[in-house]
Amino acid sequence: MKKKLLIIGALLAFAFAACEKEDNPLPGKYSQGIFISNEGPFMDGSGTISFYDPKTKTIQNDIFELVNNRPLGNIVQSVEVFKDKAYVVVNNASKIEVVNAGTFESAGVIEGLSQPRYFLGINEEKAYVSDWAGHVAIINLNKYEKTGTVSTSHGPDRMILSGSNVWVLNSAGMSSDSTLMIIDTNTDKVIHTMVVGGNPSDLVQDKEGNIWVICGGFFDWMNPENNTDGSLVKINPNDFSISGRTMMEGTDFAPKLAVNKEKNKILFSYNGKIYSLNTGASSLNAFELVMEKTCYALGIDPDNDEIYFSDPLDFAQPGVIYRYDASGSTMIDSVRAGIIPGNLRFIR
Amino acid sequence: MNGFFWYELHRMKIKLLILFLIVWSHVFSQTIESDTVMELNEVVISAKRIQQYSAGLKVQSLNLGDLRKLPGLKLSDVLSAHSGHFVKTYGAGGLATIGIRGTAPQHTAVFWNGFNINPPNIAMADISMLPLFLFNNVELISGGGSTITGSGAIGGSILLNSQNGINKDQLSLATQFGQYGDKLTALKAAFSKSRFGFSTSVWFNSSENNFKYENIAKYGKPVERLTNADAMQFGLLQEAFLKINDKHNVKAGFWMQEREAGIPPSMTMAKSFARQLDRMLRGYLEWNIEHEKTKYLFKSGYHYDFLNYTDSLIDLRSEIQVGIWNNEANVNTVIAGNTYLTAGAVYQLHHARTENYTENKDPQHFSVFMLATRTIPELHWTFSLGARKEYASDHSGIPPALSLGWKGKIAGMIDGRMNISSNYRIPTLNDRFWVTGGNPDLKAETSINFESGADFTFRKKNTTGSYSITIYANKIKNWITWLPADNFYWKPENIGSVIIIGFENSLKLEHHTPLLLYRCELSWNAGKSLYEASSFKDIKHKPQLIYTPVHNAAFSASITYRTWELQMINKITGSRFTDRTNTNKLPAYYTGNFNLAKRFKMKRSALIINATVNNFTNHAYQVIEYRPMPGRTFHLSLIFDLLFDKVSKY
Repeated sequence: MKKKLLIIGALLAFAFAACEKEDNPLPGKYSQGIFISNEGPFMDGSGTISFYDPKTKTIQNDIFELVNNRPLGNIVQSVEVFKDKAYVVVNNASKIEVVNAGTFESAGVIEGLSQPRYFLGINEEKAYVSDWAGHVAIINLNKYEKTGTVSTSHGPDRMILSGSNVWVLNSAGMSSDSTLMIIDTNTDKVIHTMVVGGNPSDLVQDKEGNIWVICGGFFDWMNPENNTDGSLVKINPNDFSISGRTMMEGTDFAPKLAVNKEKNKILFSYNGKIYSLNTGASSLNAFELVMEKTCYALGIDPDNDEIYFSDPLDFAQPGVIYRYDASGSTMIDSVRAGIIPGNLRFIR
Repeated sequence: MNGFFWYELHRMKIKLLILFLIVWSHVFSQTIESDTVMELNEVVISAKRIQQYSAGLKVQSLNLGDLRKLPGLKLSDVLSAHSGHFVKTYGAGGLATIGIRGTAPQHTAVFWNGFNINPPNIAMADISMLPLFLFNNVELISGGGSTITGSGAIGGSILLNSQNGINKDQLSLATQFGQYGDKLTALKAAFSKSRFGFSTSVWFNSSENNFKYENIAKYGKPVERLTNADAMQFGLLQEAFLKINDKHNVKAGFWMQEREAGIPPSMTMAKSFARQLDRMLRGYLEWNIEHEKTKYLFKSGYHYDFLNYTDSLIDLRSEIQVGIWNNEANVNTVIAGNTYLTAGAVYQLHHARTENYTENKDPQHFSVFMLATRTIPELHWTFSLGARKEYASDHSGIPPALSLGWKGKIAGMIDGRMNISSNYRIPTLNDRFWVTGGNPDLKAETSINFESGADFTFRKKNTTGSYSITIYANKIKNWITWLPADNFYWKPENIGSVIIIGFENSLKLEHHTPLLLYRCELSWNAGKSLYEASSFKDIKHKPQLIYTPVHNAAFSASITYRTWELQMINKITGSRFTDRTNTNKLPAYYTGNFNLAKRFKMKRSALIINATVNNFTNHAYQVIEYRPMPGRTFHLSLIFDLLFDKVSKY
């Protein structure tokens, strides 16, 4: 009898757990919304993670310290959610803090990195982390350990997974670069390197599989007349050829790129303006101005195409997150996040 | 690429701005009467030099005799413990700057033997690099002093004097050992004949500074040792004095020192490979002509600083060389009866060599100044009127500085003082020419400073005491702050006004019995420094400047029994905001130190042995966010003095 009860109890528990999981893939208060990584103040300070709930229009700042009673570390570069974990990349602390995504309770730390920038989950066991030390680190997700590296060019930065390949931008880091590398995740080898444009900064993939890259152009601090213009580039994912390019006017330190829910329209920021372009447009010059706003982080809500972007203001006070409708014509909300909000991660 | 590239560049910029610190200075030989000396802790307020400054300013003179038992002290240590002002320090062996009365580090002018030693690229001094034992006299003048000390003296001035007279012979050998590899060896010698005197100081000190601390910013909060915090410093100071005859004397000096140190990571960083080499050379020659009623001073000095900053982690290497050739002539005379006049002219040639500017910078500065003083002996009152005007070859619109002051007896044992002044600070070379962001259009900061105070003294049998209170208010216009520019690089701007108001209290008591001497001192300073405040109506809602505590309090007590002395020094520093919107603040902290000293006197020599425990409560605190500070630390020092007939300090 006891055995039966135990079995029934276990089944019920499983059923409830299964129901909960199905309804709410990330049990906890941070299951539906947007994680915002805030780089934090200069010098010695700590970055933070904010959580914005679009339904209630509320933001909760510094949730990591709130839950774990300690700061994240210097320069919180990005946050990524993979499976049931969130991976907070802390650049100047050379680590990734791993938390349970729904609760943000600390679950471990990945150390042994140098200047990590972005995390990209590959499969249950493996992830890549771009590191400005000049490589992509291979991470064992069971042990939270670095198991190897894939050498890149200068300042490997943002990455996307397309099929079994990872596309990595060599964003220049403290140097100059103009290349993109493609790594086969089965072999962890670079299978192709191509020149895209000066200082590539961000990339997305559209519904056709095309890879779009925004480049900020080269800077010459001492002789600004030597600067080169940035560009928007479209790449054929099959033969890695550049199928389109449009030049932007002037340079931008870190232009951003985002793709909509249907993956048929991209938004990109450049020099204080946000533009849109239909991915099927015959000419890449057909981009349209959406609004004139400072944009330090850019994202599109995968549920409803609402536009989110951040303004870091003076980089010393909490920055602002703006939320606009899909057309960019109406502001829905604006909230204060942490200092220098730099990346957005939508959780659905 | 987000902010990192940009951030790193500007983090370096800020570091270089802040870390390109070294030192220089200025002296005002003057005359006249004796004054009062006020002691805050070890402080004696001596009215002896009142004519050097505008009357009515608060002057604190450190009692260096009492501090000799601690040969390893840096100027930052003693000002942190005894000045009542906030010293912002990155920890043992790290950069330290002072913010007098809630101003920024750039608002304190630091002088050595009459020469301003704030380097022109950053115009502030790292006071952790100045060994205290080099100096025979250290005075801290709070309040606006531009009429006398020129650009920068909006918060106050620090006057360091190492010159020896001809009546003091000394040979001292000091050594200190402490935890975390702290070692110091120093030799100081001063000899004089009837007309000639010289003094030499040489020193070497090093420290690993690898203390343990709980890293509250890491997973599991591990106890770690501080890394890359080692520091090594050595130097030589040589000075000479020649009395040609009763009217003429000549002084000369040469000071060189070098410091090489690591810059440790903060708790939020994984590691640091940043290192900094500071090398400075200073030399001067001065000629004094003293007639019965008139004194002339002609002096010339050259002050050179070299800084090399490297960070192998981000492949950064930065060098800068700056220098000032400073020439001054002044006259100090009795105009009539009780009216005195000091007037002078200063010519400076600055130079800066660095790849961080687009070209070499060699600006010239010329200024004239005067200070008229009138005393009314029967009332014990002194009035002063000061003015200064400076011209620069690369910066126009430098406003004149003016000051008006009074001090004098109000009743019995009560003295009063009052001072109002206008002051200025010329933007630094980095502010104007740094690539990228330097803003050549910056205006000079200007301030109106007001202060008033009273000093009470009393004596009853074996007990003496004094109490001092000061209130002050400043309005600083065109405050310069580095802000992000359109394209994500930083650029300094004149942001508007900062208003500062506050008060300072200090109480000192001394009681002696036939065998024992008790002393205790208590101080409490409080001040608001309000960012972007345009009027005093803004006091309630404008934010406090970052890293500017409202409250600073100290309590020290000592008991001396024959040749033994036990001293306790306690300090409480109020909470400090770390961001401009005042949403995040570091908690107030307390530190307490104990010293136990024993003096042995032999026939022709003396030995002082001193044991110190710093932070005896082992309190974990941060002056700057996530920069760990040492816990309980022990030091032992020995000072051996060879006694001469003429000597004896002990």
